[in-house]
Amino acid sequence: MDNMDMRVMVGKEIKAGDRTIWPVMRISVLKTQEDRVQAIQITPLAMLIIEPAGQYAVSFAGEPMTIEAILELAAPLKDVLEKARRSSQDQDNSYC
Amino acid sequence: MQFSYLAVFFLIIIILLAFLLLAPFHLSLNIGKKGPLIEGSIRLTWLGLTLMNAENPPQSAGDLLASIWKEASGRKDGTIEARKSDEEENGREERSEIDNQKTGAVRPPSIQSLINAAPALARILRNLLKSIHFKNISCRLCFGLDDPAQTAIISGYLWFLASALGLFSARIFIEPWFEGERLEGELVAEMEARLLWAVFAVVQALRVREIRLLLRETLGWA
Repeated sequence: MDNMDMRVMVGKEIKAGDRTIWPVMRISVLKTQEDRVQAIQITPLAMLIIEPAGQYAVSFAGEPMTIEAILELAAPLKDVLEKARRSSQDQDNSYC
Repeated sequence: MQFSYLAVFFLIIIILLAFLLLAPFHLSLNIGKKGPLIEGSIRLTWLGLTLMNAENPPQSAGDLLASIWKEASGRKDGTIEARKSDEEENGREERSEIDNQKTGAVRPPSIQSLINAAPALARILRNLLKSIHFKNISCRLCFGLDDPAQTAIISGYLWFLASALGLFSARIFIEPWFEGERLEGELVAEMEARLLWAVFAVVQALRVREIRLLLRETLGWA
């Protein structure tokens, strides 16, 4: 009987001008009894978009997605978001 | 009487040549990387004689690259010095193409020549691969890139490559690592090759006009 290993991962960030996109994907690995990989499926789930004006999440399922929901899906994004918020605060302080 | 001596001489030469072409070379390869340490050994034997035996004790990847780099730069410096002294002897500067011809150094051929020779090159490669027989091969590779999606894609390519080369899939173990960058594994291979097919491939290659042209361009004779 084969077994399936599923995990939600954060991909490499994509930079487009001032915008940074963090893709969130589900990776499903089908393994044999001997732990040999049979197949891998990558399913894009959502993305976190960080802009100078703010941050928002987009779900590929077509439903509205909150920042809290994407953080629940992919916990490593908490650090990314924290860092982005801190840098935007620094920028605001430097303008003042 | 004289004729029979000549015939025996040629017969001995043919037997020796056949022996040389048919006696297989054995190559044992053992390379491994665990954590930051890389170790390996290569052994080449022919008719029980060890022609090459190199062992690399466990050392870090950085040290290994540094030693390879040092060796390569040393060789390069030697070549440059030799070339400089040659130019001084001649007492004049030569154009790079003429220099190329003199030193026998290779240069990249034109893209068009490469495209023209591509089908013939594929045939040669197939003939050369025929001469290699894998007696035993086992490979365990665990790798990860900075992007899990790329890791999965490269993993698929590696499986395709292993399958296309007809390697024993039971002993090939490729494990993708999605948690970050990583490269670990070991390769143990034992193969034997006969010179017959390699010589056959070279002779066949030299009969093709495109290959001759490519060779001439590479050696700077065109």
